[in-house]
Amino acid sequence: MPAIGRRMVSRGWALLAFAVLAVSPRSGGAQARGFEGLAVLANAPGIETLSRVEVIQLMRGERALWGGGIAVTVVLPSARSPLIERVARDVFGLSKTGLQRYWLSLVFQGRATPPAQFESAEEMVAFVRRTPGAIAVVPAPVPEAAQSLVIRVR
Amino acid sequence: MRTRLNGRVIPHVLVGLSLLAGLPGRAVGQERQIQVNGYGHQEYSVLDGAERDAFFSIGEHSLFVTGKANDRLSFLGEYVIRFTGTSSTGYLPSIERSLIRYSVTPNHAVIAGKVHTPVNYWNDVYHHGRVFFPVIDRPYAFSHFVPLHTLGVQWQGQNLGSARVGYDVMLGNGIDGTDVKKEGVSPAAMVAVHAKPIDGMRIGASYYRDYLEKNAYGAHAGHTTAPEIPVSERYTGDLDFTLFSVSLAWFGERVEFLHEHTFNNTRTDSLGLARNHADFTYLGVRLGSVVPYALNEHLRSADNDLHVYPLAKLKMAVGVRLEASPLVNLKVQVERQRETHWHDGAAHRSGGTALRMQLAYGF
Repeated sequence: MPAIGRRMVSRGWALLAFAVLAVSPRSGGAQARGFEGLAVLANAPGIETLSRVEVIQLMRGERALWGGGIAVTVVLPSARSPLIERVARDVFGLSKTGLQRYWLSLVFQGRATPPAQFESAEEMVAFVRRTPGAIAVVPAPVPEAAQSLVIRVR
Repeated sequence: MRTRLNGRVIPHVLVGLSLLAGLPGRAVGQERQIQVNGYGHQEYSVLDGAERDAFFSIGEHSLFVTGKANDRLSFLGEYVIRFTGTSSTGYLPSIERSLIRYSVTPNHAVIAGKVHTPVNYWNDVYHHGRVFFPVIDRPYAFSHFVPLHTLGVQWQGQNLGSARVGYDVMLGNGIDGTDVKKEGVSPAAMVAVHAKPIDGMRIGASYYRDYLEKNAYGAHAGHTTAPEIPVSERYTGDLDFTLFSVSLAWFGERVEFLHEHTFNNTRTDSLGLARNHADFTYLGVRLGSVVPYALNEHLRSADNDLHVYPLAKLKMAVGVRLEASPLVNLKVQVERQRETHWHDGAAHRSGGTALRMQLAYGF
């Protein structure tokens, strides 16, 4: 193909791409997403309140440390957990497989440490209780013993 | 699950990412985060060019290890075994990544070791991970321009501000270096910035500079010259190598798009400045677990280039990716390629059509 033809093909692709981006629905950002019926648990001393944006940033592995220097450990439902669809949709704005692809890719890039995963909400709560720095989103209400870990989301 | 490692009983999950992807495994929490995962691929190709060939092939298989020493220190290693005709066993192992990461703040880290040079989207995000590739092959630029690995020190920032800006600054053994030595005292240097203003989108730009004392191809580059340039005839003097790359990636729940443009300049005292470039464009539409796609790419190295030598490549392809899970997919691709290289004052053309299938998996 002559050079001018190649340039035209390349520019055509670029124009098509921008058109696609312009009409594509956003897959959800950290802007407006509710946690109705869910509770945020974090084993982070001194942290009692977080904004929704901060919770989403933490759950997406976008911060490696809490303010005190403790590592953030993200806790997720495993693929076979009945919770995963709900957490994927309500917290990440993604499908179940979209959430799986997101974390697999992030860890493979070396840009985050792997999340801990559990099949049940009880296991997730127990893990957060015994792991400094852990954060999870689980169905509300949480057991009495874990009430001190509940984060108020503003 | 409890496993004895070096005489100590360490509770951990060996299959953490596999659990996330729905593969068999026990759902057990982890106190010490040590994970081992593997990635591999196999292919079947039917090539119709000057000759017709049809064959199976086994691709790279990598062992991917992550570990955490404490809150701030983590480790990542990737060890690859690939087929090679020059090894007595037929296979060659290599350390593809081995790095220690120290988190200085929640969003900044220092990294020491061998990394995939974060010089463009593909090398930073995919590299060996065929199961993550949207298509079968890496872009052409990987064979000639992109410095695949760097061994050195890296400063990294991520997810800064509402646009989630990130940067990478790195010094290390570059194109003409190896994993144990580099000629001369000037390191390869690079800086990359990217932003993720909305979920699924990443816009990036990077600059890389290296001074090649003897125009050696080294262990980090993975570069090859144009065909028919005998080793004994290759330029072995000094060469300035710069690379500027821009990329736009959009991987949403429905539409997938990636465009990378690579500008490469090489300068020699004998032939002066040579301007090379490469483009790669991918567009896919996700229909559940089926992703039909198309790609277009081309590469051109200048007539006075002494690193790659004069070369032009063009590829157009359509295909479909069938995802059985996030860790298993089958890609079927029909592609048309044309290649021209110039040698001994004459243009040599080749090309053809190919049907290729790739089964990529993680475990």
